[in-house]
Amino acid sequence: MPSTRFLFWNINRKPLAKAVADLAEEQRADVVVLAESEIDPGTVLRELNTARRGGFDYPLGFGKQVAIFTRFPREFLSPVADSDHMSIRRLALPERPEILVVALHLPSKLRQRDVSQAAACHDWARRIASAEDRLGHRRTVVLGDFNMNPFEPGLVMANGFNSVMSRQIASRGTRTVDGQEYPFFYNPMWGHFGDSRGHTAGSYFYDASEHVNYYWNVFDQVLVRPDLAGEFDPRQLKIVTSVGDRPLVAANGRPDGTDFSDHLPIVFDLVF
Amino acid sequence: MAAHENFWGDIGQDDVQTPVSIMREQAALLGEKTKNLVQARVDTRVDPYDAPGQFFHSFKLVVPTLDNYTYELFEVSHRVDLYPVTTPPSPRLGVLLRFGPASEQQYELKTEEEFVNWLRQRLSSPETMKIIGNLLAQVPR
Repeated sequence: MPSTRFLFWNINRKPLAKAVADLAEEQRADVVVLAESEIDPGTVLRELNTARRGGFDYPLGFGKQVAIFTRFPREFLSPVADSDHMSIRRLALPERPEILVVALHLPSKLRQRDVSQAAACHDWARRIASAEDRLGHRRTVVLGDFNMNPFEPGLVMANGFNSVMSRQIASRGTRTVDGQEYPFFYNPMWGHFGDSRGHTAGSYFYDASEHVNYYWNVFDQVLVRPDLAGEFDPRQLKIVTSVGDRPLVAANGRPDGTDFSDHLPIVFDLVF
Repeated sequence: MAAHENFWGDIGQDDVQTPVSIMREQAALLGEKTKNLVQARVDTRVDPYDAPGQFFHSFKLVVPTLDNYTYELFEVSHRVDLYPVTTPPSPRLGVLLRFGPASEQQYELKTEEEFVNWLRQRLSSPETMKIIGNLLAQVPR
């Protein structure tokens, strides 16, 4: 089955159109999703199409939190629903089963307490399920800056995103709590904590002066429903630390928030 | 006990307009202004498991010619006694409510008058006008 490559990057309001285009070219991205982008989409599109591969389009959409570009003809990625913080699109490619692409940027921990974040996840998950019900399938991928780690309640709670670290568990489809059935997501980002790959131990670094401090966080994530998880290869999922010969991180492995963004991009393949 | 005695008293409806009826009335009026190219609807739900006793009403813009694309403009909630209306609804999960407000500006509209004034401002705000304008611009004609 053919695979589609996704790139997500929270660019922290920086003028990084050129870096985004270089990254999309290098990673051979088919779908590029940006959060905290204040760049005019036309400018990003020009840069994306200056690259050798090019062929990007900016499909119709009305969400304010994310910008989505794709190398597929724009009509293949059509809007389904938008609300604050979340944009739901339908990706319908010829001869391939339609999937739902949910791009989001959830509120920052600076603006919301952990418990409020967790509670709000119930609503985000409900909106996704509602779109799935409307379209009659659960071939869904969710990507973006969740501003929560994979282990936090909002990502794990059955009535939140209900995401688990194992494809085997996710393949059960749903789990039932107190008589209520909740569909799983597979969250492959669990495997991206720690420094086994180098100094970079997550996608976002935050040194808080308080007793509980993880330093490294994996706020930038991809979740896939069991219907897509079977073919998902976690080895193709990467937190990107350089573009060409330019490191996106400082010598200590932390994101270079001066020249680039305080978040690192993620890339992954989806087979469907 | 008398077999056919009715204990229910006089059941009547108060004159107060429910928040959802006010929202639906306004939703119905949008189609007139846009020649039905952009419509509005109000979806109501209850959440007995996570938010017992609360009613949620989502005000959505719908574009029929874009495969019924929906844009959720806002959501409000209230309990069975209708007012106050809260928007956006408080985070769910019952006890978690005690931990304080969410980040967004949250309004607690105590009376019908307060709700109507808030709704008028929300629907005529520059932000709402811009969203409707953008939707109209994209409608295939």
